[in-house]
Amino acid sequence: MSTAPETSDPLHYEPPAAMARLEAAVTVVLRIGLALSMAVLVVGTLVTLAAASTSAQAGRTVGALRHGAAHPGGLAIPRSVGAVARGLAHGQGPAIVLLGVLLLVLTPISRVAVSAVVYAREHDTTFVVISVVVFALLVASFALG
Amino acid sequence: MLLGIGVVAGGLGALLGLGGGFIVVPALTLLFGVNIRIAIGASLVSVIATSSGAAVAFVRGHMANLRVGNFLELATVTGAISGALLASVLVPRVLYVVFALALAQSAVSVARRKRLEDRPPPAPDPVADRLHLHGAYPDAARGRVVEYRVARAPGGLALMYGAGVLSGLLGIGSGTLKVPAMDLAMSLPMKVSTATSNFMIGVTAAASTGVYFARGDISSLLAAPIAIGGVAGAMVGSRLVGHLPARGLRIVFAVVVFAVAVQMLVKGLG
Repeated sequence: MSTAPETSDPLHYEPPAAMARLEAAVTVVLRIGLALSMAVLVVGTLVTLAAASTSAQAGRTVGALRHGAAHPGGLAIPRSVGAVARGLAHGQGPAIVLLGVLLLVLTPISRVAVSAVVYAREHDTTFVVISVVVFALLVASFALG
Repeated sequence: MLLGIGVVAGGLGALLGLGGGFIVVPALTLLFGVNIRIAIGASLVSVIATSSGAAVAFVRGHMANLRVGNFLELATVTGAISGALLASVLVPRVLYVVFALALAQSAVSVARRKRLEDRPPPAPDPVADRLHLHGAYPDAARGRVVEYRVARAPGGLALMYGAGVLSGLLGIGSGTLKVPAMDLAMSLPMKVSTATSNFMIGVTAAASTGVYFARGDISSLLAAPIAIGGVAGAMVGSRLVGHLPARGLRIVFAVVVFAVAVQMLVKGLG
């Protein structure tokens, strides 16, 4: 499978062309997804902290987390994509953070979608089917809760 | 503090081919007294961050076998959805016990992990042949490119379903089950198993996160700092892999994980 190394470096490995294209595409998707989601998460966290900075609120927050509330302190609880969008329109910290979480979750999911496209270009039908099924299951998981 | 937990979880996770949930969930429940379901939701998010961060380095370095990963994701995603649905039915006390047992199993499997790179070639597997799963990777420690053949692909698929169920149930990447499944059952070299495990964990965790998100069990307050720390830790960890004595690291890891497992078990049974 491996081609002969063109340099004298014994560790130089050139994967088959189809695999090299897949690796390149996956790397790009993961990098973009990570950079975007991390930036949004940082902004959202700062906005949340600025809005709820009193110690009384912090105390209530910890207490509520212990009792199993995901979004304590009287803050909005965005659960659906629509609620996140409404929270964003009002510049609410938790909504921005959840957008970051969504972008983060979408990163591996988009990686699967992009893989399906790369396999399709290689006419690798079996792996197109595998990737599409995995993608469909991932999308379904959001509807199953 | 939460950021620090993320950095430690991400760094260790990337080093050992795990997601880092084995640190996040106990830290949140035992140190902060957070409800375990919320802790698991936060852990899943950090696992995706850690896995994606580590995967970038492993894919670029030709260490992860993407075809094996894509193939096995069929089983891990199905398993993760089953597990996440099961978690909404089970009581927290049961979750503690299951988590403790999974941790203990992890500690044992990591401690016993030996050098399995010099095995005889495995029996041919028509499924692996048909799917072109075989590959090669540059092994820095051996100073050359190593070619390998994949065996028992259907068996690996079955084990991965089990790993997926545990991911969804416990909010861990369950790399401790994925790595042995690829390494021991499918005859993949250890380093490829570790890298491919990291590559797959993001997709497995994304499936269970979907279910947790729809149920409202994802706490943004907890998830964000841990995820940010996780990515930072993973970036460092995945680059350090080649430079650290693996044996010592594994023993330290096994001891820490075992201690946490005992604590969780006491909490679940007490």
